[in-house]
Amino acid sequence: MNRPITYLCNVIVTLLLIFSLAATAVLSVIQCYSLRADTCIALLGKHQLADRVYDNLDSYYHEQANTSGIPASVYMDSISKEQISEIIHASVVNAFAYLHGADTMEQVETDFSKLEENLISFFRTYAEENGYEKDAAFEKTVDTAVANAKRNIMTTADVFRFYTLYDAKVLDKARAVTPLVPKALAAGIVLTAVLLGLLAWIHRKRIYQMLYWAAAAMFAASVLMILPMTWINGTRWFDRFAVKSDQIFTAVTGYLYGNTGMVLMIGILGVVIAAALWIVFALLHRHMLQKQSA
Amino acid sequence: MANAATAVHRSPQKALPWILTPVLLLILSIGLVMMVYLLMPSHKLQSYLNLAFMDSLKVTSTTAGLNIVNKDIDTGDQRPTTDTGKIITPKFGEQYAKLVCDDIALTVSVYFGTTKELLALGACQSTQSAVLGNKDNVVISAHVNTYFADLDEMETGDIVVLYTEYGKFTYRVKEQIRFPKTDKRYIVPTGTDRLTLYTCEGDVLGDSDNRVGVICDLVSKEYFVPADE
Repeated sequence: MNRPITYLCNVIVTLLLIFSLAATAVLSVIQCYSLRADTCIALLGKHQLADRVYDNLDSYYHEQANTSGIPASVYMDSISKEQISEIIHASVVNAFAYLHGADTMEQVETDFSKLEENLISFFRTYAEENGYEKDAAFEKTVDTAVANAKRNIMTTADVFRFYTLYDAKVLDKARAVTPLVPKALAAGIVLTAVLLGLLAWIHRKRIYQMLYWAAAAMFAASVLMILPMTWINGTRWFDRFAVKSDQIFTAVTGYLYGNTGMVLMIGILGVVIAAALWIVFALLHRHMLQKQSA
Repeated sequence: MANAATAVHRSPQKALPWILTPVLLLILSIGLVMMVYLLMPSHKLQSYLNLAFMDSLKVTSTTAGLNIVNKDIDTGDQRPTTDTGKIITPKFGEQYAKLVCDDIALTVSVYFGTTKELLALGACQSTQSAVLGNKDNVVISAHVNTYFADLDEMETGDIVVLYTEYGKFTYRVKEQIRFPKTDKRYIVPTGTDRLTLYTCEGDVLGDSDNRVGVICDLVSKEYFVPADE
């Protein structure tokens, strides 16, 4: 081991390196995973979100049929799982475009002509069979039913609640932070490089010793990431999510567990790299001692 | 060669610092993280987290689900009562009260939380409203095609009693209400003892955009005296 003053310098630089490495790793997950629309889109297929939305709508309209008198088939025959999938896909793309700088969050455009046609046809047939007069009040009821159906389908398909977050201005807050992430990541990388450079300078006479301290930093940073992520995943902490609608719960917790899983994976990779660095260091150290003894 | 081997196989005392240093660094870094966490003003974030991830809402499966708890609440409980007592906050999905209105022959279980599954079982209390016994607006809703089918028949002066495991709460109907479904004025906290019951307005064709119900004033709060007192 080195002299006390050198040892202290190593400890201080390595401590800084631990936080710099951990921060850089977490920021890289945010930049390359959390802030990408593809991450949410991948969950669409993984958790069959369109199927869940479709089933939710089907169950809702069957339940509503008791009070509204409109059979569920009037709604469900006019929408498909593919159409729902497209709505979810578009809402995710629009939300991430807004997060990354688009002026407004575009509304999802989808073809509801079949739905309109089905509802209008049902109302007209019902009116004719039951002798209802097709007056202004009747037309208003039809318009309300069509508008409510469209809104309900769009809201149910907004599985990540992006439009609710947009309305509540929560996305605006996230949008203000998003451009800072790549800058912070660049700063983290530069700081890590500087600290590694500093370690190299401290060990300029026996450069291989730097490997030991870099590995120690990598190990501690990895454990710092692994411990909380293991706890979150192990206790299924996100299962406490307050919104219990199947499709929203699955989408949101799926996204959150995806993030913790990614950090955990990087942490485990870090431990493996640290172990590899220590082995290389031990071999070099042994080689140097043998050389000195010879 | 023998010298080299001696040099490499150093005493354990010399190897110890190499082994302990990473552990020391780890302990130091965890300590620093804990210190920053404790010093940081995180209460605001904590309150948001508590709202979004309520402990009582945890489900054990990987998919959404409810822990529905059914209870046998006795509406003929003859235990002695007092004016004050301990309120037991129910968990989400728990049946924690029974609502009785003899004037319209209504007896229905009340579940804490409002979901499609709970609405199929009985009346549901909004988790954002006051738990029975607390001084605020208690908001309960149910489907018009099931449990609250006759709610529009409730009249001013009718008595509504809510039985729980910890007490009996009596209300009197003050007024009937009708409001658009987007209007939140009747379901927000009022700061006064109030019971609000509502359901969808019955509509043969189309979705109902209106809600109907009653507002009730508190008549009495009676808490059951625990058996050990």
